[in-house]
Amino acid sequence: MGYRFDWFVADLKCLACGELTEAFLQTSVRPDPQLAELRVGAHLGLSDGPSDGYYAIRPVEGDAWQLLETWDCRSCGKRQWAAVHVRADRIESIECVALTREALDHAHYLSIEAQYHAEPPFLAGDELIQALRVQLPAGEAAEHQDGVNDGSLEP
Amino acid sequence: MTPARIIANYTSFWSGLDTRALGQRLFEIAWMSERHYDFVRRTILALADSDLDDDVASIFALCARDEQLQSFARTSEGRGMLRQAARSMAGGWVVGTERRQAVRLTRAADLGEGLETGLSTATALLQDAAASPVPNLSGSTASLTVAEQRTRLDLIQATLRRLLANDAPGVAEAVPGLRSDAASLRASVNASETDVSLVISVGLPLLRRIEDAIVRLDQQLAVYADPTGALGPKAGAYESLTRLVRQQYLEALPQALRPGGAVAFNRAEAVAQRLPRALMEVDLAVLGARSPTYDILSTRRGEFLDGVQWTQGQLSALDTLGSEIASYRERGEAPPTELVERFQTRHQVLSLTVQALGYMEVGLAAYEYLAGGGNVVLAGYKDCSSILKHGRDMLAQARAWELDSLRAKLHSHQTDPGLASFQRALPAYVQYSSLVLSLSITLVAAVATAGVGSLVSGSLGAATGGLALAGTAALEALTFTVVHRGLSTQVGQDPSSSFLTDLIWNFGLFAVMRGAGGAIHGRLQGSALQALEAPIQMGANIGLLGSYGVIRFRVEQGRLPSSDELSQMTAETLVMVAAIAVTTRGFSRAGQAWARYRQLGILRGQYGAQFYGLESTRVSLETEVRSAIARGEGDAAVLSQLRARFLELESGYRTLTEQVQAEGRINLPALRAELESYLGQSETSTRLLAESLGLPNEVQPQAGGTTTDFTISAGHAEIVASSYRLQGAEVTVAQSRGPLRTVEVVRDGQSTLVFAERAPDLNPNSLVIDANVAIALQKQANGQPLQSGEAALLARLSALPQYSDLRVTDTAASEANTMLQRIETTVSRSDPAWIAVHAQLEAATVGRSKGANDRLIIADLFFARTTGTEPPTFATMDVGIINPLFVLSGGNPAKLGSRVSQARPDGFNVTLHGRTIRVLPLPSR
Repeated sequence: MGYRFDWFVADLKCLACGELTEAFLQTSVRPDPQLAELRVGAHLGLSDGPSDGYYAIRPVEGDAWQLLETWDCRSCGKRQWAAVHVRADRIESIECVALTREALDHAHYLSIEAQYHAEPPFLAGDELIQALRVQLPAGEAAEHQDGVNDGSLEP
Repeated sequence: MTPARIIANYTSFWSGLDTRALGQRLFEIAWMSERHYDFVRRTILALADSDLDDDVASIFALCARDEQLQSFARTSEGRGMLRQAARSMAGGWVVGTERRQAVRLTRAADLGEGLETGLSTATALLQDAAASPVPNLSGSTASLTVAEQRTRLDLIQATLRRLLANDAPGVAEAVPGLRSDAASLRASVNASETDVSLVISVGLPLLRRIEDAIVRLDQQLAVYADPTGALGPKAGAYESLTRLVRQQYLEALPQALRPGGAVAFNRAEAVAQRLPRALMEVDLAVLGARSPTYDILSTRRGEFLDGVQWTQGQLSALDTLGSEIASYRERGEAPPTELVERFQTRHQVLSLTVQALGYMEVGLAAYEYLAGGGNVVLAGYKDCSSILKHGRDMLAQARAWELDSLRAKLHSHQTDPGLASFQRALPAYVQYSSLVLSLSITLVAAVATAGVGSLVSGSLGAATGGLALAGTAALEALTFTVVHRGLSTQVGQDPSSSFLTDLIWNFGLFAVMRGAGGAIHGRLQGSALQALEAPIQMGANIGLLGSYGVIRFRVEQGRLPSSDELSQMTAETLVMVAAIAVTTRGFSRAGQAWARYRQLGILRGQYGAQFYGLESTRVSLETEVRSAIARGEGDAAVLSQLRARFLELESGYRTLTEQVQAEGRINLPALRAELESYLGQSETSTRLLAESLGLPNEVQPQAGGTTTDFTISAGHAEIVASSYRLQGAEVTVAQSRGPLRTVEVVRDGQSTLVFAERAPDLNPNSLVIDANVAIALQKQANGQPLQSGEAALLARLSALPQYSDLRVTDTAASEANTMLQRIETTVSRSDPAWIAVHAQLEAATVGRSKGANDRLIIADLFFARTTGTEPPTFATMDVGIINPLFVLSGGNPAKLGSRVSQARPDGFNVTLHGRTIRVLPLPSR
């Protein structure tokens, strides 16, 4: 074995404080992580979806897929979510999103870190995804609600 | 060619048969090829009618040197030829020369026949032993911690390096396979395999003991191969039997680091155990093949042969008694005193009987020599007669098991100055007769050692339970006998040696070797260490003082009686061990307040002075023995006197231990429990071991699984190296794992000592890092360029300067191939507590689904050895580790409002099953 993770790196605007900062999203998506910085345009070298650290939400059709991963705002320290879009094994975009039902429905993979965000905590796999579908706010409206845009279900 | 034709060829019409030329020709024909033996026999037989056969046979015999006769006697045809020639010379008008040559040929044929019979019986004995079922280590478990397993593998590596340099045939060839096995074991230590722990813990003593066994066997073989050796024709038979045993050990060698490797070793031990007996079979068969020569000797010859036969039978009975004692010990019971005493008496009587037989053999041979030479000086015959009569009397005493009178008789015979000058006057070939049994005398001791020592599943250490010991014991005894003593000692010429051995074994005087010169030290140490290796109850096929000596010596070597051994001890031995505990300097100093050990305190208060008194007498007697050795192995009379004083001392000890038991002031079960607790303190054994090895206490030596492998605290390799260099040893220091080193100490004539450094305990400045940090650090140390992610990770680490002692677990170390110091754990991965912690880490998916190694790292951390009460601290930036551990600490990362590293910059504690670690989350990027 070797290193355990890489980072997705992108300039992201925090949904809580509105600051644009360089965000580092820890990921073990690759089978042979190198503590590398994976930016837009980077090849992932994946043949069959993420290697570790993600639950599958729905099957991938074609060569494009997206995953949801957490990040922490360097400015306010709040936990955030981002969607990483991959096409033909290259990172196409990384954007900040709120963890909503809509975001969940658009994504193919969900970071295992989501287990701390559902009730009861520490659900896994399909159970977690089903719980989130029920518990997460629907979509756009949620983005601007305090206490929800950090991805947490806490008030 | 026919007999008639060759006779005709040497017969002239005018002068008749040229007996001289024909005799010489017959010898040449025989020497040319063994296919001619029968032809020669028939030719001599064909001459019988002419009455010239004796003349021809006499010339034939005169042409042959002794070694040529021995060569003829190797086959039955050759022996037939020699016996025919002897018969021809014994018939008709017999002149002195013919008689002497007839006896010479008969003795050569006897020797050949004895050798053949003996070798055949002995080979069958060894083959039976090889075919008998031997136990594996089934049911044995090893309780080595992961760190101990790693250190043992370091010691194994050092042993393999040495084996590779070994030029003994067949040894180095096994090393590549063993290295590959060792590498697999090292990789498997991570896998929480209890089997792996067992293989490692057994593998090291197996390798060391196979190595030692082969060295000893090769030393013996070198003696047998010596063309000037005193064994003469017996050497071939001895060599053949010894090679058979060696082959067994060679076959066991490649198995040493594999599961079930003990089976092959135990088989080799079972065969080696029988080797002394097998060699004795050869000797006794040679003696038993004594054909009649002079009528006048027939009665004495009959007595002698009866004695040989009786000895043969009694050796079997001794074997049976030994097995009986061994079976008690296998069941964990102390054998009845009566049984042990009977065994000791018989063993000693048989040793002395064999010496008596040796004298009788000399007497018979000397008579034959004198009579054959036409000696008319009556004094010579009188001396022979006197020797034979003494022998007869000694045999009678032996049959009555009168040990003391037998010993006295033998001693007076040995010290008779007339006998010594008579023996010196005999020619070499008669003196050779005295050598026939010189080895056998000590072979009896080896047979006895091997008998009692049959397969023992005892407390050589729980880790090596089930390993056979008896073969090693037998080889030790044999090497002592063959290489150092037996072959250079003729019967009656160095009686002091047997007295010395007797003293050392019977009174447990192993410590005398410490003050002895190099050669004595070397030869005794092996035997002494063997006694140390054996479980106490087994090591003591000796009396009370012998047991005391063995235990005391073990204690002084830091090898304290185990809980199992204590539970098996008789009340008498238990009191003796307690006496050692209260009278040994190192013990007392290492000991705690006596108030904590009530029974030991009472023993010390009530009987301490008496035990001190006996102990000081013992020490002064021991000093006298040491001085006797220094003066050249001691004078028989002095040693005999010392023996009497030792017996008196033994009686003093016995009286006192009986008094302790009878007075009832000491509660024996409570004493047993106290001793167990007292001896169980590791500081006690470490201090004693340091003292005995002559190393400073800070080195903290601990037993490493064999009597010659030790572990020491990290950073002390140089101290050990310098200490042994000062003593003149050859010392090599090698890197083992990371910064840890091993020290190999080669001393003249002694077993190689190996010391492997242990990783130090964690202290408050220690920080255990995860595999990510360890890999990045190693990359930096290697001078490789770092990516920004790696540099960022190391920057986070360098922000923690208070942690000056960076550590890794074995798992992270092997992943990163790092030189960083490891951690020691207190339990093995098979320990239920470790398994429970690990299961909880699994359930919490610490390290995510691919985090198996992370879970091993963290589980080990929970059991890290620390110097104080502070929990081990673990640094990681991996949220896949941090968040699940935070959950296990009772928190929820999602409820913190920020990342864990930000919310808990000083870390958080995680407690599982009563054990705590501190997790220091390195700030994320």
